[in-house]
Amino acid sequence: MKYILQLALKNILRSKRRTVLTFMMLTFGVTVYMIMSSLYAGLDEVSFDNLVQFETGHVKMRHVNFDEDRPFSTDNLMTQKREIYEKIKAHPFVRGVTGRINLLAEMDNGIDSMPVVIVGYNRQTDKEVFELAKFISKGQMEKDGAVIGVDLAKDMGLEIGDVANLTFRDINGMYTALDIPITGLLYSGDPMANKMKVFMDIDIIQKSMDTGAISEIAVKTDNMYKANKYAEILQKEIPDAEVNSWKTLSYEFANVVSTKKKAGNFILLVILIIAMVGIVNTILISIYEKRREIGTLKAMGMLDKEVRNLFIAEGFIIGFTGSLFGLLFGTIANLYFIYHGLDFTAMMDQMGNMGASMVGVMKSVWVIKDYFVVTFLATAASIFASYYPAKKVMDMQPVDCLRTVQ
Amino acid sequence: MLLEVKNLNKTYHTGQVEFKALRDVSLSVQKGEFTAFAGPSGSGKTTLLNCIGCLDRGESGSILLDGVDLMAKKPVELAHFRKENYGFIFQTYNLFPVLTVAENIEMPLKLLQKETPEQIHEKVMEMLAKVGLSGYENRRPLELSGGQQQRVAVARALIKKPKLVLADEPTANLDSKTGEAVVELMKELNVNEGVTFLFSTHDAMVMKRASKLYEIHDGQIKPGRKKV
Repeated sequence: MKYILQLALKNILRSKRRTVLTFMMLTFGVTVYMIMSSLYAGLDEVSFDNLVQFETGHVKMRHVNFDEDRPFSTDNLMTQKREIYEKIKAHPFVRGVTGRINLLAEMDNGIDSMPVVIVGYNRQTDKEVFELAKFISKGQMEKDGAVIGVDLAKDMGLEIGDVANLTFRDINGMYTALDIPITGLLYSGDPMANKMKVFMDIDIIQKSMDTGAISEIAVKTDNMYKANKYAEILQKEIPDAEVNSWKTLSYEFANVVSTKKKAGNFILLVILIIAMVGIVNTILISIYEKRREIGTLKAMGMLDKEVRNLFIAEGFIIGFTGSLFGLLFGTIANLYFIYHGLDFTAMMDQMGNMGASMVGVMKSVWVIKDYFVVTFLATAASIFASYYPAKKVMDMQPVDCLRTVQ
Repeated sequence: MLLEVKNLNKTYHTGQVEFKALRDVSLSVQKGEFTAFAGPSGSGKTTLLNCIGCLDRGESGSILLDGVDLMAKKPVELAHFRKENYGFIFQTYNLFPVLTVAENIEMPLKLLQKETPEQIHEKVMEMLAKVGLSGYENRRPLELSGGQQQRVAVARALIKKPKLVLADEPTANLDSKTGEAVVELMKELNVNEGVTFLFSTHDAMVMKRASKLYEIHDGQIKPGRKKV
């Protein structure tokens, strides 16, 4: 086998130009795939991080009869009990706990009004779980003020320092109104939040609603990737709440991610098919050119299957080295995308966020699995592609090959 | 008796046309002989050599090499048999251009997988000396003259000490002087090493050097033209 590989390597180097072209096709394809895969993975990672830091926390608890169809109904509110917080905090994996209240309201600027979602947050504990400050593009969070989405501010013609009027129903169904100054603008990866959300101190909301209840308890743990397991533990202890991990809560976004992965796999498939066609072509020409040499090898006693393996080995070498170079170039390109990143802000302002929950500069991440998967697939595809033309060699009679005029 | 061919027949079919390339060919070769087939183009010399060398199959008759019936063997068995027992020298040398002279010569031994790289190297250097190409081991075939390339082919055919060396018009692509030198080399190896050669030619000079000559015409050995 070693001798066959040596011969195959020498054969490949004989037709350098053709080999380089096939090789480059594979290398280019693998490079592009590596860059795209890392970009997608980076996009997903940032998106999930943002989702967790802005909206879901690692684990979220809601009323046991939480109605998904009417998420802002007062029926979904649950009583804040000190013992629940203590139970949660007693777990060593818990890093922070906070409560939030969500309700529908109407925002009025004196001329127009728009429906908004008010999120009441606890100024002391919210930062233990969420990183709201990270998403404030202008101004800041203040006790007696509101932070509103940038698109909402734009639509309502509001700026920092302006006062907005908010109208909503209290716990008894009575309308209540608040005049609240805008102290900050929010720019998150979630376009709905940018367009509809108003963040305010939970004390002001609870007082206006005449209740001490909350919509949800959010928990930060020591490891977001163990959130499912932690959610199960908490659920057992607090049966009168619906406990979900961020993974469950972001299933819609996870579906988008899954679709993107499928698209990435399709690109890899197309690349492999193109490379396979190139390899079939290269090996076929190689066989045609070497008919007399094939005859000589057979005359010297090389078995049909050994001659076949010689050409399969050519495909293997092209596929393996092509994918290795692709990985090398992909890695070099990824160094830029991972450490420098791409600024998508301008594009997202024009086109939206393309299903991602991200802000500003996006950075790729290393996807170690790709190194093994791509090498294996590209090599296997190359061997597969060279098998058909190489098999033809087995049917060639040595005497016919030796008669070839070249 | 090293080789015995009895009543060998071979017909080529091209569409509806049949061409009888060999008709009841019978011949024998003793160990250590320097035997030539002579005849015009299309007379069946190459076909006969191909059948004897297990590169082609006859339809009827028998070919015995050292008592082994080659007509009864399967293709895979024939490949193994060729690897063990035959050396081939071709009209167009058929060297591998990507390999060096030494790599070309060592190939039959590498395929046999019976000797260590050191042993193979030693044999190659010895063979290069015998064919007068010492110092050329790292050259590529295309860097050599036609005569030198044929010497490499001779060395490649002899490196594994085959029972029979088959040479199909080994001098046809060489000028007369170079051709003579190559035949002289083959003759030397035949005399000094006891190698059995069987070759085809239509070169009068080569015929003169043969210890036995068969004349072939229209696929038949001419009666009464066998000389020892």
